[in-house]
Parts: sequence; C-alpha cells; structure tokens
Amino acid sequence: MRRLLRNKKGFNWAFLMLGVVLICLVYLFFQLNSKLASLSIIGPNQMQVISAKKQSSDALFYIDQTSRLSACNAIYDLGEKGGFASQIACNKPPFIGVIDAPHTYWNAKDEKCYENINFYNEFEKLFKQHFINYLRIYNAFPAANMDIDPFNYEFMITDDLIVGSAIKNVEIPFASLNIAALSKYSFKPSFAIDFKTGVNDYFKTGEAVDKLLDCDKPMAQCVKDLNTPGLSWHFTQSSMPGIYLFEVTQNSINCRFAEAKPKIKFVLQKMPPVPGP
Amino acid sequence: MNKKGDMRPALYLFGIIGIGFLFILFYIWQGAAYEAGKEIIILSEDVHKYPMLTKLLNYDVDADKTIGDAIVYDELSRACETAKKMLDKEKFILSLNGVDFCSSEKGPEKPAKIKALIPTKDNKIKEVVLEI
Repeated sequence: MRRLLRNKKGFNWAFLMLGVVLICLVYLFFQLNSKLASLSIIGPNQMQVISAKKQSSDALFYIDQTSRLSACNAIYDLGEKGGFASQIACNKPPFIGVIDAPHTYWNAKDEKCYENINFYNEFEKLFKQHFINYLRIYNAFPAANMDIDPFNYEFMITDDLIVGSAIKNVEIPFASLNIAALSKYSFKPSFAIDFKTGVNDYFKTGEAVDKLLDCDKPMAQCVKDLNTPGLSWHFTQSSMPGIYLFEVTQNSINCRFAEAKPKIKFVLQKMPPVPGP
Repeated sequence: MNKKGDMRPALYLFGIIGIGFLFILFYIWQGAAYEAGKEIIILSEDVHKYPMLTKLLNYDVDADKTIGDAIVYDELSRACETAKKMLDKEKFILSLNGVDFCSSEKGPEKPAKIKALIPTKDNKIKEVVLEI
C-alpha cells in the first residue's frame, strides 16, 4: 500500500479521472432528478394537445352531422310550408273546402306570390332554426364540454352543397400546460357538406305553375302535359270552385330512410275556363 | 504489480472499477424514469385509433346517407351491416348510449374506447362508442 501511495504519477492520473467522472455524474443526477419530479407521466403537455385535437374533431363531427340532419329537416319543413319559411301575402284563411289544414297559396287573383322569391333564402331560414336548436342542445349537454356559438356562421346554400363558414374560432384552454405560448387550442368550426337540398325543384315548380295558370284545358290535362323530371304531381280539387291543392313530390331527395319523399304543398286559385258562346 | 514494482496498472484498474461502480449506481437510479415512461406508452397505443370512429360514422350507407345518418334515424341494423363491411376483419363493438348494437364475431382483446356525440331526429343527443 505504501508503494502504491508513493507512486504519484499513476495515483494522480487514475483518481483525477475518477474525480471528473464523479463530478459529471453528480451534476447529471441533480439535473435529471429535478426534471423527473415534474414527469410523473411523460409527455403530459403533448397528451393535452392530442386530447384537445380529439375534442375538436368530435365537435366538428357533431357539427357536420347536425348540418346534415338540419338540412333534411329543412327540406321536409319547406315542402310543408309550400316553399315559404314565413307567412306570405297570398295566404288566405286556412279552411279550403274539404281539406282541413293550413295551406300556402301561391297565387291570389292576378298576383303570383312564388315569383321574385329566393327559395334558397327560405331554405336557409328553416335550416338555421334547426341548426341553432341542435347546437344549443349540444352546448347544454354535459359530456360535450364545449360551447359552440350557433350564431357564429355565415351560410352558403346551393343545390348540392351547404357551407357554414365560422366567423370566430373556438378555443379550448389547456388546464395545466407549462408552455405559455400554447395556452389555448384554437380551431374554426366551419363545415361543408355534400347534400341535395332540392331547392331548384321550387324554381322548376314555379315555371310549371306559370304554365298551369296559362293553360286553357282542364287542370288534370294541364298537369299531365307538364314535363318536370324528378317531380311527381298530384292535386285535389276543393269543394270551393277554382281552388286546387297541389302536392309535388321531390323524387331526387333521399335523406331519410323509411319515410316518404318530401312534398311541396301549395294551393292554386284558377277559375275553370268559361265555355264559349 | 509487475516486475519493476510499477503500481500504475493496478491504479488504473482501481480507477476503472470505481467509474464502473458509479455507472452501475446511475443506471439503477434512472430506473425510476423508466417506470414513469410506462404511462406514455399505454396512452400512445390509443392515439392512432382516435379518428377511426369519425371515419366509420362518415362512411356511406348509400349515395346520399352515411352510417352516422343511419344512427340518427335509428336504423341501427342498417348501420351495423355497413359498419361490418367497412371494418372488415377488425374486432369491434359499437354501442349507442351504453347499449351494444353491433359487434364482430369475436370481441376486441385490448380495446380502446372511442366516443362521439351524435344528434338524433327527436332533438336529443346520444353517445356512440366504438371499442376496437
């Protein structure tokens, strides 16, 4: 041992290395140990971001599905209301002969109420009612855990597309995220769905009604002469003279499973042709 | 000790043994970090399955309707039939508000539960869960 200690060159060199390694490991220990305490689960921040993304995807799916359901409801409602979301000038007292139900008059004397009406706007009004209602239900549902403003949308509706552009983003705050710059997860709750709205059928029906009103033949013959692909015409005559209740079936609409196709219901007033002298 | 009485090799040996000992201590200590790491492995197993339910619900039943639509209109047998086609050989269970309405022949062994909310035609919300 004495000889070992006397051999200073070897002693210095080997124990210098030992000392350096010891210092490095102690330094490393304190560095890692402080981080280990905050990592009870590795990657909690990342998991928060991933679950916020999942939450936003779920909300976007609900919005998409809501818009599909609202659009389908709007198609049926619009048909029941004869293409008008609210009361129109041509509407007369509801009782029409044997048909005991309120119906929308499309004409009154010489006035054609279906002209100059944008049926896309009428569809949008009904669509919005359903859409807002479903989003309110979602916001009140505890498991949704998110608030989507139903009035945050601008809509564009065509025959086979509905787009809802969100004005503001929805933000999901992170409960305990350490990174200050990423304190919120933000996404735009816009949607675009391929969906047959059938609104163009109303314009086609309007053109056909023009022909019916100008037609000099009996109504059954006038209807038979119409050429409107995708639409099936059915009418009944009221006990009151010159009042016809129409139901035009939209055959291209297929948004519900076991139910009948939507029908455009309206009433026409047309005096029967007076026989010549 | 060699012939000349030079102790340096022995000192090097002691030094290396000491360093090795410290490394072993460090290795044992960092085992705690390994234990903590287990949780992230479990969580990450489910992450890639998250989009599966949305994909499934958006899958077409026919030209105009999706599996989601079938659930909305309570056409669960139609939804199930199409879901089986779409998921093919996957083992899964589909449930609506806690009631199973569709599953593969054998249930999933280590399932991830993926949930989504869906509106219904009678103005309610239901929870669809896919175990896969």
